[in-house]
Amino acid sequence: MSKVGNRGVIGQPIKRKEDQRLITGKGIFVDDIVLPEMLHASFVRSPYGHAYVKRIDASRALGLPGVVDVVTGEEFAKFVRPQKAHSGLDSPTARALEDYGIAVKKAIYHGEAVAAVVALDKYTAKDAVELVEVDYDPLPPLVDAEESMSDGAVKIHDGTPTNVVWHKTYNYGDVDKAFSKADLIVKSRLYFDRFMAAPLETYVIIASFDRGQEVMTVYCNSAHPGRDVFLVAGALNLSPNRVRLICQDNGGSFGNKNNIYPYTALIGYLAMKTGRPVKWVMDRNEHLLASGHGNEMIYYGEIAVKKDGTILGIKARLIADEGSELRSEPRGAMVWIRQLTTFYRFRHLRMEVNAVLTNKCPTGSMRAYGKVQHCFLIESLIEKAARQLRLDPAEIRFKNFILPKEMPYKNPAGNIYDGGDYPGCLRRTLEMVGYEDWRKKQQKLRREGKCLGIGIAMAMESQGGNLAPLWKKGHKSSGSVGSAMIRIDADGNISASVDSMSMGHSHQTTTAQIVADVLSVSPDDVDVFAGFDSWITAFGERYSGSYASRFSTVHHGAIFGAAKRMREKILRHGAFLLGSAVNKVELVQDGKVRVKGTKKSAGLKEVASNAWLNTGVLPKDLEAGLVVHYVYKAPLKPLESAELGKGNFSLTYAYGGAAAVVEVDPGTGMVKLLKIVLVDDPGRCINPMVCEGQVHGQIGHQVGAALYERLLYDKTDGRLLTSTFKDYLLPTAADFPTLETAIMETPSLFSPLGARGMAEGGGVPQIAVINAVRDALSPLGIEIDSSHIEPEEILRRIQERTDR
Amino acid sequence: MYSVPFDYLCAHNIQEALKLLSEYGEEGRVIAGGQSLIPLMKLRLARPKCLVDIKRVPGLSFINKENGHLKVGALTTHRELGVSDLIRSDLPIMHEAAQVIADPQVRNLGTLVGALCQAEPSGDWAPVVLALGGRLKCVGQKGERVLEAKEFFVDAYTTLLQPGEILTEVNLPIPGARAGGAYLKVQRRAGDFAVAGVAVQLTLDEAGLCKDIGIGLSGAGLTPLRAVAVEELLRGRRISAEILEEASRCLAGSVDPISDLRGSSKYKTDVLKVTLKRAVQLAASRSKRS
Ligand SMILES: Cc1cc2nc3c(=O)[nH]c(=O)nc-3n(C[C@H](O)[C@H](O)[C@H](O)COP(=O)(O)OP(=O)(O)OC[C@H]3O[C@@H](n4cnc5c(N)ncnc54)[C@H](O)[C@@H]3O)c2cc1C
Repeated sequence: MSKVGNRGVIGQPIKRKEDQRLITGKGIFVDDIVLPEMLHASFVRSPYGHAYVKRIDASRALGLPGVVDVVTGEEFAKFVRPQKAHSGLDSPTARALEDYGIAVKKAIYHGEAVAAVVALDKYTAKDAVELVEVDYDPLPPLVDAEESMSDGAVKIHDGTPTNVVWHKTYNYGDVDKAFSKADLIVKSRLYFDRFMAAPLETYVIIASFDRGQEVMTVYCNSAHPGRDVFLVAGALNLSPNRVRLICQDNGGSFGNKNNIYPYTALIGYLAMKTGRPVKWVMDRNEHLLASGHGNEMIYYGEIAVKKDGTILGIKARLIADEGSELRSEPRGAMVWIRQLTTFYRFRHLRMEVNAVLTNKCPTGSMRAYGKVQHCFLIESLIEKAARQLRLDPAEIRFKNFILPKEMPYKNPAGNIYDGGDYPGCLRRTLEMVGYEDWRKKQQKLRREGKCLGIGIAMAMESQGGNLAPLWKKGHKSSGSVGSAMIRIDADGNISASVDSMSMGHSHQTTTAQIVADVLSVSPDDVDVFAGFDSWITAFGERYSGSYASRFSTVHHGAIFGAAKRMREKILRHGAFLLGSAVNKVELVQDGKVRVKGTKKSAGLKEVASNAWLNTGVLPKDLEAGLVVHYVYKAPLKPLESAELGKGNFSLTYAYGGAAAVVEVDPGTGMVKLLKIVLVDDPGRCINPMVCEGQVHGQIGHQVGAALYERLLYDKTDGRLLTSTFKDYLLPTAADFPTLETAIMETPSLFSPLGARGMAEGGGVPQIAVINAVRDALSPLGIEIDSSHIEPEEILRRIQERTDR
Repeated sequence: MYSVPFDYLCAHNIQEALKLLSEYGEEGRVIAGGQSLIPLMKLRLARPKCLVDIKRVPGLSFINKENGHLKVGALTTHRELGVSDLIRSDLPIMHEAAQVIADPQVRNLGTLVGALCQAEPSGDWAPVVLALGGRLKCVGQKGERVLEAKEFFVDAYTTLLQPGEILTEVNLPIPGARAGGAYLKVQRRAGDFAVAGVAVQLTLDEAGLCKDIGIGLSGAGLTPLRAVAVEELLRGRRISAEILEEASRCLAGSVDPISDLRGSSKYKTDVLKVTLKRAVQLAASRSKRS
């Protein structure tokens, strides 16, 4: 890792640049924007999980004063092209999917849009929604993925041969042989429950079409604006450079706002049709019903172990419930299969994947996307094996870890781990939670009839994906680029932009830290553009955005690369100004250029002014001005075989450990979280305060998933039962003990600053909490096979055991 | 989530409020803290044509001690009850309940009286007021009447209040010597509606027998319930593990919880049973200390 700059700003816990503005209510969120003549849209949504739309009668709605238009799914389908964000899956069903973001002939999940109302104000739009009369012809809904994949199942998309969109088996090593040597084979049917990210701010879009220039300007809170530019352009038949996408402040995403794009095209069409800007603010009920849900998965898993705990191999059959459309999916199911061995040294693995459509909200990106499910599978199997072998769950993990001295380590699928200290991370986790003491306390409390449980887990999360072959056929590698721009004006003011979206990530702060470090200035001197504007800021094609924890890899690379180029430029202009050779000057405090070993220097302002304004005197080979646009490409090799799932699929492999202590009330089944600790290894921490904040969010979200949050559909009518915050239980700070977190820094061997992505963390708190509940109930012989557990279920299981 | 259009009228005294309400009949609704009514309106489950706001009516916010009773006004908020010294010393069970109802934001706005009028079957105040044997003062165009809490809750989200009537005051007897109370709430997350809640207010005699007892239940049926049969069973008895076992069986026979996302009817019954035992025990131990 290079030693950067001389001020050492990287790694300092400086206060967030964003705070003053956001805390004092001066942020500009999409709903704060008001355009002249703006109209308001609202959607009519299906009350059924599965139903033909027979007739839509908008006459009453159109009669309400203030209503401008009612647009049905059928009309949208005439003018808007279906969108494909998924990974170019080549199955007959996947090819046949036409995702308009709105029901055309058939509504295929509860809450799917069937028509849009446009009105002069948002209240009228909502009132008119109730007046649109829709005749439905309900069909039996398929809410169970296993039922949906059965032969006789009704097809969710008419004309497709099956509801299975993808079926494939990946083999690494020789699984059958490994299993034949086992002392013990442990099997589980595991269920990973459906939940979601529920940020404070729901989806908000304003679209405005300039008919003269044929430019569509969209203000929205997407987390993946680079991709959305292309999707929206494709849907509306515009060239991508005529779509200007602007995203500034964002009230949280956690992956969820990657799934906004189908709506962006619909609102875009309404703006084109009405000739006026159109705003749409999704309400909370709609957000729970029809934004994007997390991946729900069923695993039939098997682990083969030796008596001493050595893991020999894993077999699994995965049924991934994708919901009714493929949006980000099936990347969640596909990509992380290659990391299924995570931290452990076993080399034999088989995974059969079935991606299945159901009558539920489409799944899409969410924190720890696809990884938490796989980590849950392996950590659950290990936990169960440990119990059957009477090994401590920590011990079995230590037995199987890949060691730091083996780094970089190539896993069976060809992924190259970029460094890390897995045993060190678990040791630190155990120390922090006070593992030995809790085990002693547990013995004592068990004698008193109390159910105390201690759970540990490790999880891995990759960043900087080598996904090009999945995005575009024929490409061999990568696709992971980040883009950054730095400009220093004639007065020496520094501004930077990066093609990410900050949604609480503190990108303004950390970007400024990196730039400041390289240019030897203070972070206060670096202004960072808050957000993304495809016409103005750095723009790295369809990759631009904040997802898959990519900031610390590709965006760092871009900022760091741009800053280094800028440093070169400053030095060259400075040398010219000082009449010295470039190799004789250096950059010192406040961005001053100084002739080495002398007091002769020029300030940044002086250098900048000369570079921009005194251009007549500049030598031929010295470019005028101080502007840099840098595109970083992750140093990834072509995949060995994308088809077979071989090669290095990511630049970095972040990881973390967590431990949880819970007490289960045997009278009510209620689980109380007594303690939670988390150790995260971001490789190199740019700002410890920011890292800590990110990890807190991770704990909140994932403990929520284990104990509070679930999206439950009614099996008979396909309705989402948890469609308001009264029933979709989000925990609050009052439900948590003090969060205890620590940062370990084992630098990445491959990323530009040695950093890895963080705060998705493979969902490790969720798994630790479930393991703690398992541990608490283990004396009763109760196995927990799901990633979310309800008190009622716990009590029922306890009663089954004790009533006998 | 926006409500249907409605008129909003602000009353400056009770007479004005009653008059405005009478003009709208069934379509008019009182609004106090709005913490139940507004969410329902936003979901369009409640569609009143008119809201009559009583928050500017003077003299409706108070906690007064009179003749061995505490009187609480219609506009007294959850928070005011939670921080009141009078409540803490004279009705500790109410102090206890005020700490677990909703979240701080809701407590700052929501009122005890609003909660009673809402008659939420999983709410916290109704069981406490039932256990204490509270009385409710209501005024209407035709005059004033006083209702017993135990007859107030007649059906799901329905009380004895007539359209146009306003509940102005809750009257709660202050328990005497050797009294103990406890409100235990089982909830999925902090400040959530109860899966089950049990309020017990009892008095032991000198011999340690249960002289008097009031038990109110949350999450036990369509309405907040008073566990009359259990009270009768326990009256005159010593609080022991055996009698509590019997009481919890008796309770199971007299409740019929609604199955919802917080649990099936069976689960809620099970939780009510354990919670009853715990609450009676706690109340009894507190009575011994008082
Ligand atoms: C997020 C959240 C969490 C909550 N959690 C809990 C909880 O844990 N436990 C719990 O018990 N409750 C909970 N509640 C409900 C809360 O306690 C409400 O404040 C209370 O139920 C209603 O009081 P209010 O003053 O807000 O009444 P309003 O909402 O204004 O009115 C409620 C009903 O009572 C009527 N009304 C109000 N005052 C009078 C009056 N003086 N005379 C006649 N009719 C009247 C209204 O017309 C309306 O029908 C929660 C609410 C929210 C929003």
